Amino acid sequence: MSPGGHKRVARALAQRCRAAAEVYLDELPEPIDHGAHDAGRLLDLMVRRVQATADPAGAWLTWTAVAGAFPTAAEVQEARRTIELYPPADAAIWLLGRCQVSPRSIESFTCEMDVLVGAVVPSVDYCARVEHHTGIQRVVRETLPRWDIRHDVHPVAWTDSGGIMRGLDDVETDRVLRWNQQLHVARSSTTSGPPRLVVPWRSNVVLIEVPLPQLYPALQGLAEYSGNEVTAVGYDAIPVVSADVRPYSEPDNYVQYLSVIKHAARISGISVSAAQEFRGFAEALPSQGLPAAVVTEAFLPGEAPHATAPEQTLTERPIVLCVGSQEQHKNHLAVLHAAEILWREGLDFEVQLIGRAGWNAERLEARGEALIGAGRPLTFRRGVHDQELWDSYRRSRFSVFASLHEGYGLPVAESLACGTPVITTNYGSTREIAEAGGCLLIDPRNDDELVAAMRSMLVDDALWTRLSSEARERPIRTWADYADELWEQLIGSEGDES
Amino acid sequence: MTTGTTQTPRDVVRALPQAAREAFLERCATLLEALDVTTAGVPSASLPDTVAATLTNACADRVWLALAVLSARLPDIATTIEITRAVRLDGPALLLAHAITTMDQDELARVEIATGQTIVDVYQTARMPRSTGIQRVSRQLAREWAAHHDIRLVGWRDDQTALIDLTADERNHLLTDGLAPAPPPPGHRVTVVVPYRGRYLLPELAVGPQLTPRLQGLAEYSRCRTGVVGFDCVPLTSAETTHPGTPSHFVGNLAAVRHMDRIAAISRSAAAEYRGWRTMVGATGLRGPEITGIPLPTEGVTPSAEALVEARERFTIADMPLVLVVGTHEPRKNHEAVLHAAQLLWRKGHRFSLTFVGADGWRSESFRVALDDLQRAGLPLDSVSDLDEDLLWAAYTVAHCTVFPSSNEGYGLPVAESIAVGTPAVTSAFGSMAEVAADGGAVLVDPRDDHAIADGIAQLLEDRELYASLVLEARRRPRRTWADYAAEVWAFLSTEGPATD
Repeated sequence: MSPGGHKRVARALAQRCRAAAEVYLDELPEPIDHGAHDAGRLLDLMVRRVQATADPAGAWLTWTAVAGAFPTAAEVQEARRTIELYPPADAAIWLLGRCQVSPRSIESFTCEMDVLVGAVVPSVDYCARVEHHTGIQRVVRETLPRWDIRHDVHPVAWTDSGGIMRGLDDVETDRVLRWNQQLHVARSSTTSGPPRLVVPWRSNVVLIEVPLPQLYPALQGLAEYSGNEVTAVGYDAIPVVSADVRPYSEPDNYVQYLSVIKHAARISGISVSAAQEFRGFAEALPSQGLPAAVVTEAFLPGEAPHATAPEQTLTERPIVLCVGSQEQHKNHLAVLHAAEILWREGLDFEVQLIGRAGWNAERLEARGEALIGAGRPLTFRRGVHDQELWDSYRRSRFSVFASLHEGYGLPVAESLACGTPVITTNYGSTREIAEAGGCLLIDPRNDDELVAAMRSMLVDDALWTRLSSEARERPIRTWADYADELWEQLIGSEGDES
Repeated sequence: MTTGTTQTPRDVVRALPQAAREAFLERCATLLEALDVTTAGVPSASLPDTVAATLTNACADRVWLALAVLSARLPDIATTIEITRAVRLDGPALLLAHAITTMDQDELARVEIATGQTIVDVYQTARMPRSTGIQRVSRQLAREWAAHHDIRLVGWRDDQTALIDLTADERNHLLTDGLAPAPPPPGHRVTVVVPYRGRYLLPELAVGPQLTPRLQGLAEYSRCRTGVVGFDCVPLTSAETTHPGTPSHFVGNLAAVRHMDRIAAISRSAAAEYRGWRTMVGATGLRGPEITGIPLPTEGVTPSAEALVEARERFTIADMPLVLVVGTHEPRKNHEAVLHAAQLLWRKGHRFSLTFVGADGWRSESFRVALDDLQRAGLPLDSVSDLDEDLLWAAYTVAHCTVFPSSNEGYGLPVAESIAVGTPAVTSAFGSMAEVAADGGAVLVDPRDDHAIADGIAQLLEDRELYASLVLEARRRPRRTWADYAAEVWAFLSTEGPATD
């Protein structure tokens, strides 16, 4: 490294140490205009404090300042133990050397950092970086703008290696806070230079999205030792509860997410059913001496989209709509089986499957091709855009969503919001959605029930009319309702005091 | 899946090579007998047609049984549902065709339907050369149950698609500590066992991508009472401490266990973990099994005089008290905290030696580095990877105390073993370890606090009164035998009726 590079690294190190010392030490020495000396003096004071208190949070913060990266849980322990056993000067030198070889720190050696005290810090790395916009991303991009208007929040992304949090650039901010205006489209960031690192301290880190696996090592260290409160939105535990209908190795990543949120103070499930999954996990924690998180539920909204297509009239060939990614747990094969029985009975209707092909869709595709080959009116529609989707709901006689396991069951809510009745699963989150009307409930593991429900929906006009009007009369729950409830559950009134 | 065919079942079977045809016809007869269909006067070649007639509009349970018997492989749930639907739409010929395409053509096992029998699955325990804690439990249960009940011991075929009888050698080895089983002689024809309307008991941890989906099918469709011993949920609840890959195997096991009737967990703490998991299962509309905690027994073993002499020579230094740590070196066992606590104590002038007994596990590298550093610095500590049983019991006996500050255990065997020979233990103040210590003989500490561990050890080194009372408590603990344990587990897993869940 060039001498100039060394200076830059030392200046950044001094800045980070000072930012950390400001919140960690009771008294701060005056700055010296020499990065390395200033950093050395501050580091010595912090190490002494950690040594005196055997405080893991202090070890976490000191490591973070030196490395420009959050330590893993094992690294916090290593640092705390080493600092306890050695003279402060030796321990500080050890720490400097140790952090230099940590692969996750290298990218941020020249970065400066801000320590946020008592803040609300939603982690939104994926939503900030990626254009993808389905279930979880919609929750984030509808909730955070509302929080941002009413409260003081500091959404963060992460550095590329997943080592530490950083602020959002301008395009990322638009992608998270102004998605519906689509300002971020085809724009590149005007923010230049190394990212500004963000370190929460005695703050609330809100895992409002499910973080990508590369963040888990740092998040585990943060959740267990940093002294920050961690809260989370609980979407579902499908990878570990319904592993038999998912890819075999999927649980390996998901359980590492569970190892983060086992240190969470509060989790808000997106349905009673999702909350039950996280409550069950929390119930298992006292066996390892950890307190169970407080688990509550804030039901997602099913806001009516702008639909333009005319509604189905009783004279056309009825369309049976099946929306959702084509994966085994969505149980599409049962729907095709029931449809075939009804076609053989002589009923005339069309089945449309809207959704991308997911894991293990081959069996479904083979079955679909056989039916199409036999002349059945069945279509697979992929890459359908929002407007088309809403129009399809409106044109269909009813939707079928017989999933075996759902955290929420968005297609049920969407269909009902369009005034189209639904046949859906008689337990879990879909049952909760159905409680406000417009649905026929079935046991998704019982083909006969599904056949009977589809037959009724096709031939019993009185039933269909009743369910359709029930669907139209459902109370509308808005994203604003959801955002307020989620704030209350995860942050509460304390978040507004800071 | 095979689709539409105009051939009759009899025609399809006729096209098979002779050996396969004979095996298939034999299986048809076996199946019909179990279904109480008389085959008197039916020519052998017509049996497939009789099977087909019997299976018209068959329910899933029957489809499962027919596929299992005819193909000599236990079908999983997805396959059973797929074939049940096909039978409903296009008739049973498809089922026979599917069975023929998936049957074990190169082996052609004999198939027996174990109607009404009690099947005990000891696959890992009988076949695998390792001896883990799980296998010790499983072996003891198999022995006690075989002595008192009419059970059929089975394992899985090498391809993990079907249950088969143990060979006589495997059985002897399992039940009597005899010689390791020889591989079956060439030409040995295995017997595939299909559990049906009986009991299926699983005293070990069954895993594998082939095995667990088929086990799930068995639990769902075999009409057997199904029971399993639950060891812990560590790969689900403490994944940060487990080898990557383990959670997927374990969670696959849970998917099968979800469909079973009962879980006998090896401690109340493990039962609490399984209950938490069962709460999660509610999201799938299933109730999940009934769960109870039946704690493992610990029978202390008196070591031989020679082993005691050897243990003293190997593990004690001068007249220093020996602090013993038994367990694999992996993060969950928290051995780095023990090293740190020991350093704090040595610095304060406490005199004791420290010995670890256990193999290197996942992520043991940093422990190993720290241990080597301390050994080089001349501190009185040692590590051995493996000891035979006699010498291990001798080490427990010779030790002043043991330390077991794990972050999560299904049972915490080393704590129980230590106390069983009258040696006090320092262990975690929660979970199964606190449970094992509840009858006395241990000091409970917060394992996430190195200073608390150090204080616990210091108490046992310095406080003679406390130490003496713990030794006394340990010696007075109620004895619980493997026979007691096996009888309780049998009663819970094999009987119907209300459980004290």
